[in-house]
Formats: sequence, C-alpha cells, structure tokens
Amino acid sequence: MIPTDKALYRAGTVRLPYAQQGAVHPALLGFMAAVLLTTLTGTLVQTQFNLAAVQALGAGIGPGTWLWVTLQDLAGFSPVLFVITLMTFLVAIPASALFCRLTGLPRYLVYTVGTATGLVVAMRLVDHQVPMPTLIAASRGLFGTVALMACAAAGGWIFAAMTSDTRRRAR
Amino acid sequence: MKRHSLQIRLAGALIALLLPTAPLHAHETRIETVVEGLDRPWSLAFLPDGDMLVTERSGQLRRIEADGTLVRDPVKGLPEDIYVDGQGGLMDVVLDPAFEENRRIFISYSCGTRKANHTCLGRAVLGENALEEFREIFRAQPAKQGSAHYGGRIAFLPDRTLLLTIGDGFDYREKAQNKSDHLGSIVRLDRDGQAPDDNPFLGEPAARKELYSIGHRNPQGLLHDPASGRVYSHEHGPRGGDEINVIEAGNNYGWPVITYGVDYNGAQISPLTEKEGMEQPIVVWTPSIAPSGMTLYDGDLFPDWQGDLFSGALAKRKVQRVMLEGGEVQGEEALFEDLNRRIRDVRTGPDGALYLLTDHGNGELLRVVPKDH
Repeated sequence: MIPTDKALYRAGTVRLPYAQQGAVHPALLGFMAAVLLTTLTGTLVQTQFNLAAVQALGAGIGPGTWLWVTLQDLAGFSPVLFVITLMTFLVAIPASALFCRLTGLPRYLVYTVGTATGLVVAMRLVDHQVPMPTLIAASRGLFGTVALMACAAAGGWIFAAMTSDTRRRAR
Repeated sequence: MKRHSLQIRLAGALIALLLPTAPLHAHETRIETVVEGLDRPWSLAFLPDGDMLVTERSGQLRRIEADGTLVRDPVKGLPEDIYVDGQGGLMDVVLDPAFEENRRIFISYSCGTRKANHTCLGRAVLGENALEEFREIFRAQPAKQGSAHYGGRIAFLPDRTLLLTIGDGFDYREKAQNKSDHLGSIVRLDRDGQAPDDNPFLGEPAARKELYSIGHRNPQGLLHDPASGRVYSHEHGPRGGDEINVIEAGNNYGWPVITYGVDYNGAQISPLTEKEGMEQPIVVWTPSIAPSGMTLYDGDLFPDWQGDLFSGALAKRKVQRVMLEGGEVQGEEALFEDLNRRIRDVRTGPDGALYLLTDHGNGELLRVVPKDH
C-alpha cells in the first residue's frame, strides 16, 4: 500500500500545505494577532490619555470610573481603531516583508518600524479626510502619537514573532 | 453653582414627558424664498431702512434691499486677512446699538493662516455698499492650527458692551478650562474691543481680562433677552451633548470636564456630566442637532411663539423651537423639517416674520409667515 501524503505528514516525512493540514497559515494568524494587539493596546492608550487630560483639569475620576470608561472605550472606540489598524496593516505588513527581503535588515526591526510608521501615516491620512482636525484625540500631541505608534510596533513585533518559523521553513 | 439644577432639569423633562405635547402646531406657516444664490450664508442683520446684510462664510458681505433684491456686488472694504477654510470665514454681522447715529457694524471672522489662525472681531462704518474705517478690534489668543470651532456669534448687552463666542479650536479642548487664553470662552468687550472694567475675571492676575464665561466647546448661538435680562447661548456638543445654557458672568460651563456627548470616534471624553462649580445646561440635545443661530421670538405674527427660543439645526436640518415659560423649558418642537435644509441662522424680523438662512452653496434667505398672511 502506498502511503498517502497525510500519512507521510503524520510520520514527519513530508510537509503539507497549511490548508491540507487543517491549520490556519501562521502569516494570517500573525496578521490577526497584530491587528488585535494593536487595537486593544491602542484603545487602552487612547483612554488613558483622554482621562489623564480631564483629570488634570480637576475631574476627580476614581479608579472604578476609570476602569468603567476603559471598558466603555473597548466597546465604543475599539471598532474604529480596528478598522484603521486593519487597513494600515494590510499595506504595512506586506510592505515590510518586501522591504525585509530587499534589504536583508532584521525582520523584527523592519516589522515594528513598518507598522508603527504605517499607523501614524494612516492617522494623518484619516485626519486629512474627516471634517474634524484630529480623529483620535490621543494623537493630538507627540507623546500620545508615540504611544499609539508603540502599540502598532507591538503589533509588528508579534507578527514577526509568529511568522519567524514560517520564514525558516521557507529557507 | 446651582446645586439643584440637575434635579430641576430632570423634573422639567419628566413634566414635559407627562404633559401632552400639543398644541405644538398652533401656527400654520408659509415659507417664502426672499433670496437664493447665497454662498454659505452665515448671519443676517436688519437695517433700519428695511434692507438686510447677510454674511457669506466664503468672505462676502451682501446687501439685500427691502424689496428682496440682492445687490449684485458684495459690500466692499472687508479685511484682507479673512481666513476661509473648513468652518472658518466671515461669520456674524451685528449693528451697533447706536447704528442710526454712527452707522457702525461689527463683524466676526476667522483670520490668519492655516498654521496660525484666530477668531477675530472687527468694526466699520457702513457706507454705500462699502465698509469704511474698518478696524480689527479683537483677536482671540492664542493662534491655533486647523479650521474648526471658531464660535463667532456676537450679541450686545443693554450697557452697549458686546459678547463674542469663541470656540475651543477642536484640538485644544482642554484650553476651554484655561483662563489664560480665550479658546472655548465667551468674551465681553466694549465697542473699541477693550475689556470693560467690571468683567468677572479681572481679579485673577493670570486670567484674560476679556473673559466673561469659560468651559464652552463651540457656541454658535447667542442672544440677550431684554425682557428677562438673561443671556442664552447654545453650543455644539461632540457626538451628542449639544446644549443651551443661560450665560452668567464668571460661570464655568464645564467643557470638556463635564459633557453629555462622546467623541466622534466613539471614545469617552469625560465620564462626568456634572461637577460642582460647573453649570448645567437647560437643554441637552442627544443625538446632536448641530445648533447654529438662535432667536428669541418677540414678533407679532405668531403670538403663540412669543418668548420662545428658535435654533437652527445643521445636522438635523430643521428649526428647533424651545418653549419657555418664566425661563423654564416647557417643551420642544421640530419645525420646517420638510424643507430638508441645513439651517445656519434664525432671526426674528422687524416685520414679525421668522427669517432663516440655509447653509448651502446655493444658500437661501427664507421668510416664514402665517399661512393666511
């Protein structure tokens, strides 16, 4: 009896495409993880900047309310940031992959810088298109913008980490 | 601080819900188009001879003759540094209380550049379709970037000082609580643009001496009611939380520490809707109607409307009537929704008609009269 590809795969002799393994491709998993991580951390950052601003004006917000507002923003604001991040990473991650291949620079560096740069460019493009000067209030200042970029960089880093094994296999 | 204002407001809202909301359509109306072809008209002033002045946000001042003829050429002599972009441009026009003697008018406008612009106030003498002796008399500080939230409404008080609303500049919302600048405030000036010596914050060395009230977002409705002595202002909330406030000297109206709205992106701006030392609105509109322009009707053509506030609504494309009795809100009524026009300004005419300006590239001046008039 001739062994099937799946039997050989189970025996570790051949490597099947991910679809035939019944698994999600690591690049897709990494992409979704990057988008979700950036959305989650970016939302948390946005909320803290907003609350810190009104707290500095004497709002007197207690820890319970602070937590409640954070949860409300996860429900109310994160869908907006999810869409922005998704659209950004659809461009930034393939562009980073290409840049990595062309330059040979360390992929962790390229993906973190690429996604961070992508998000700040996307925010400025959105600001240019919408009626209000700045859609995401935390990005009005340098610190807030850098903090949001760090969230996108974390997304880029997680993508690089989750796809490093794929990269080695490809070699 | 009115400690019981929230309870009073809630009780008012409860009464409004329980009471029957008729007789809301006590008046059947007819709407006449006085003039069309205006470019984003913003404000309207009635001259003693029956003519009217209309500002166009794109930077023109137009004269309409008493018979409804739009004078072809715009009024000359406006300042050269009107900054027209986004929400900025030529805004309000108001006559001097002594106009018949001095023929002086006051205009508000955005001035400067995209990187550094302000809400400005100027005055001039109205000549034959031209402004003479124009002079900028006030410039809100500091300069801001972007072209949003200028405020720009003017109203005179009985002592012939004037109030000017100034928006928070959108990206500078926290400055509405900062007394060392003008953003997000209402200022009180004399007719030379100077702070009167009884302004409320003069005793605070760090405060701008022109300030009259603080904690505003983007107030674009302002009037003084001579009968009650009250000053009413409305302002745009973010997403929800448009407000009508009764303005008193030295008060803080709370933005952005207290608000009934959330940010356009869905984020919370502040979890607080009330705080000691910050005033409560008498009306909150959520969802937003985007109020602009306001009149307190005191004409003869609509007796049931006398003493009520009428606000234009840009987003909701209507006029919102707020029924007042002794300063308390008794109910509200949406008017002229079938027009489907963004209403930029509402005025009571000397003839008792209600005048509306529609916010479009082909903007109109509309006149509302009783159906059988």
